Amino acid sequence: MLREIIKKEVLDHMMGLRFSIACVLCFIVIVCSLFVRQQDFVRTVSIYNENSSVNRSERDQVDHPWRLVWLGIKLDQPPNPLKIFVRGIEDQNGYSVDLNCQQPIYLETAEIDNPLLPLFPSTDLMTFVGIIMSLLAVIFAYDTVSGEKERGTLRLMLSYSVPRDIVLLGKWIGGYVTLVIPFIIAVVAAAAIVLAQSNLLFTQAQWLQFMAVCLLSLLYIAVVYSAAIWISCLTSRSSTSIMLLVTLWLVFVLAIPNLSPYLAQAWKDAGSSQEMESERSETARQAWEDTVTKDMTRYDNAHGIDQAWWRNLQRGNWASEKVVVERTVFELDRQRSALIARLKMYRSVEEKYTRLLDAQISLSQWISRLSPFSCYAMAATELTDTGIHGKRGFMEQLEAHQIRLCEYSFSEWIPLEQYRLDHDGESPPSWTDNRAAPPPEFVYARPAGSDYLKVVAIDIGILSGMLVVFFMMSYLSFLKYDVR
Amino acid sequence: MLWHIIRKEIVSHMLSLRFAVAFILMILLVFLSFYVSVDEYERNTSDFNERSRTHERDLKRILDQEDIRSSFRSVFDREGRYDAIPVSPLSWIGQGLQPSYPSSLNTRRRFYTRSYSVDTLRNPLRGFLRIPDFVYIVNVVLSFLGILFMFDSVCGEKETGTLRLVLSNPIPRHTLLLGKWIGGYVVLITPLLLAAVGGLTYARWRGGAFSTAQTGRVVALIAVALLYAAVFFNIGLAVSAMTKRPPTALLICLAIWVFGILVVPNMAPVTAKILEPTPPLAAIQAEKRAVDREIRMQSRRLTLTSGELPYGKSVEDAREELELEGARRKEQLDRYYKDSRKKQMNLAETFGRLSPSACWTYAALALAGTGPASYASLEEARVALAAEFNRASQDIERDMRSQNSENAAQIRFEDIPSLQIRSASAAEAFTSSLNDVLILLILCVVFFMLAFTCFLKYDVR
Repeated sequence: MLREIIKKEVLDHMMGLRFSIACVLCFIVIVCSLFVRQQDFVRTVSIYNENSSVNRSERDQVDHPWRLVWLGIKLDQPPNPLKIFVRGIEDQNGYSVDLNCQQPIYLETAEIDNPLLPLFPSTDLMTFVGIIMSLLAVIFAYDTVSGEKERGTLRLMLSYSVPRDIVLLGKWIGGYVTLVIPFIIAVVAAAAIVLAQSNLLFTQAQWLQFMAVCLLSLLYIAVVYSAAIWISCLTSRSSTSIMLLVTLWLVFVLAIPNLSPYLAQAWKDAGSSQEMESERSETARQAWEDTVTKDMTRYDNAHGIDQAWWRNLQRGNWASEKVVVERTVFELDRQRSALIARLKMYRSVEEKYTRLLDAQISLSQWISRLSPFSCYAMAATELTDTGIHGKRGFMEQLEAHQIRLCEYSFSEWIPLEQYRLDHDGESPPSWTDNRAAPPPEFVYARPAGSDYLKVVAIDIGILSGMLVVFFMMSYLSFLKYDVR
Repeated sequence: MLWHIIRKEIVSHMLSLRFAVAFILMILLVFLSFYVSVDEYERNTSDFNERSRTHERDLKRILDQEDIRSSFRSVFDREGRYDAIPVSPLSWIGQGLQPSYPSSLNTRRRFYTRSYSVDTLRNPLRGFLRIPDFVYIVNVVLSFLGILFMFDSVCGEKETGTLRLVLSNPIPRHTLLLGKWIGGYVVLITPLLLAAVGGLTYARWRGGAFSTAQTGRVVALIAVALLYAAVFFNIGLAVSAMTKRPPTALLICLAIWVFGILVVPNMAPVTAKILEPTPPLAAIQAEKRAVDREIRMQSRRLTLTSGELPYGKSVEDAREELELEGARRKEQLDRYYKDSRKKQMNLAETFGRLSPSACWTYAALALAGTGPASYASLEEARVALAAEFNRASQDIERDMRSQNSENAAQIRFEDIPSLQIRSASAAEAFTSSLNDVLILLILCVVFFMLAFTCFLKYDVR
């Protein structure tokens, strides 16, 4: 019995105009936009490769460790191929960073080469599913019950010995299958194109992440579809039901998710960046004074070094310059601990302020979780490492690397001064060719999607809960539905 | 007669569910959008003020140093000058490209500028979806409502049978269509206008955001919004006059809406990016470094071959010439890069204009002063500042050299050029939005004519 109903539903939908519209939309938009995004990504990768080779050669040509300490190196985040499918919280692919041992880290956004891009970001799989597929789901479902009532076929059908639950289930499955078939085919086609076109290698984990996003999309479509069926069961005329549905769609898909971060920002203050900056620079100055300035004054006093001494210093005379070099060795040691303490302090100040920000973020997340689209989008971004946690993780790895760089630079610098002491003022051989150790490489360990399962569990849970609730509600309403 | 039809349309719309829906949606969303975007604007402004105060204080601290030479080096070579990028005064009505502006600009000698974005403490989810400002609400919600109001205006009446009845009376079809149009349109725009007036009053009441000088632009923007609504309204009407059943009309309308709002404009820039690629910035920078290396080599050779003292007058002149030559070549590279970017942008804009949504966005942002044109003027200001900065550094350096180093005066704060962004005047904004307004107008007329011709042949039975 169920089978017959499903078959009837599928055939019914397939003959209709909406099925053709769904097919056209899915194919044109998914295939075109993913193709375009993939082309764009290939470009990004080539820019990244060029940049990182320039950065590396610049780093390798540095002629003295002090440059690493004070001027630093440039780093680029490797682009994430999953961004072809999921845009993430920021449209650009990867950050570039100036990393030195004295300043806090700022993630720099790449130069915009086309200012229109931020105005009209290209459609990715996530936006397509979130906005267009949900609208299609609404269109597929709005007259499931009320439409059949209008045509009078519902009365006819229920005059036979068919239980209502079977009718509803059959309708649900039939409609859902016809809705997702064009979507699945288009996604498979697009994935095949991406795979065939690009020499970018997706790792197995990334394919799994992609599959997870696709499954999540199916769950989201099911949620919207069930909600639409529920509304259809609540209304007796299909024109009322479509009106209600598109309005709800507009509010829950195009308004609430967009409004939520701003509402949260208006209601919960997170402190200003300026405040944090000044607190950071104040602590930095303090750390410097405590460790370097004070100790150096003590050292100078102990060794009788003052202004007059500096004025009488004879350059080129090793006997007097030796004192300077000895002083430098001491100073460098103090500087090393001061800088490392400073970097740690930056982080603790930042943590204090991010705690406020986190409260704001979670408020905006909870507001936006009213809308299934937000739940879906947040889960999809976290699964593909394009969300908030991905950015934070990158930042943490950078901070660890910064400390490594600092320690490395001083461990190379101090021996250079020591060399002069040991060799009676003779300058050390070129550092570039005689390093004790190569500079530390920054290897970005991209977290796998599975690391974020705990984060996305909430959103997936909410989506599944919504699915169950909407289906149950539509079942209840359909049981009481007046088919006359 | 027309009057009666209009009245009937208005009354029947007002009694319908969709009017209630449109009314509530418009009032709620427009008000919320004004609420959040005025709040965002004030936040941005206070951030800007604080930032520019900090930059000024830092600069003055450097200038107050005793040693003029070290403060010169700090200002022009080491730290450089920081300028905070101001907030566009109308960004609360349409944010446009504002969020992708850098927060500050760092300028040093030798044509060096760099952007800084410090927004560590802003909600990262902001960048996730489009900001729901007035431009966005009009773009998405108003167009949607326009279609929703009109999709069954002809075919719906045919289904209920009233169309046959009306046309059996001596009413010309054009009068009927016009009456329907006017009645529906009035009902559609009333909630928008009410909500907009409410929102503007709120912005005014919050103070700061809405000043009287901008009234002209805001009024023009709302007028364009009405035109934009009319385009989608007419699309709905035309589709309705071409179809027999309202569900079919609704489906076609929604498909057009999805393509027009969500697909075409978003595909345009990226397609242009592929068709008209710009050279990668890194390659340009590498070229520039190569120029630098070459100039450095040549100037070293100059001192070696001339046999003169390395600081002689003629060598100095020759070196200066070489440096100028280098700067010129680098500028050429920059210009090449900028030209190709501009070409790409124009292509993207043209593609986008296939959809009325992009036309509305361009026109509205031109009026609000946050569109691509203002981005270009920021870019211009940046280049001008780099040149000014260079010139000022040369002047001050000359002064320093001519004076005795012991009694040299301090560098004055006013002598260091600052970022001057030229903002377009209201008249210029009107002119630059004119293109898109014309396209909207043409679309509006075309769809109305289409609806009219279809309706003339419409089978009302």
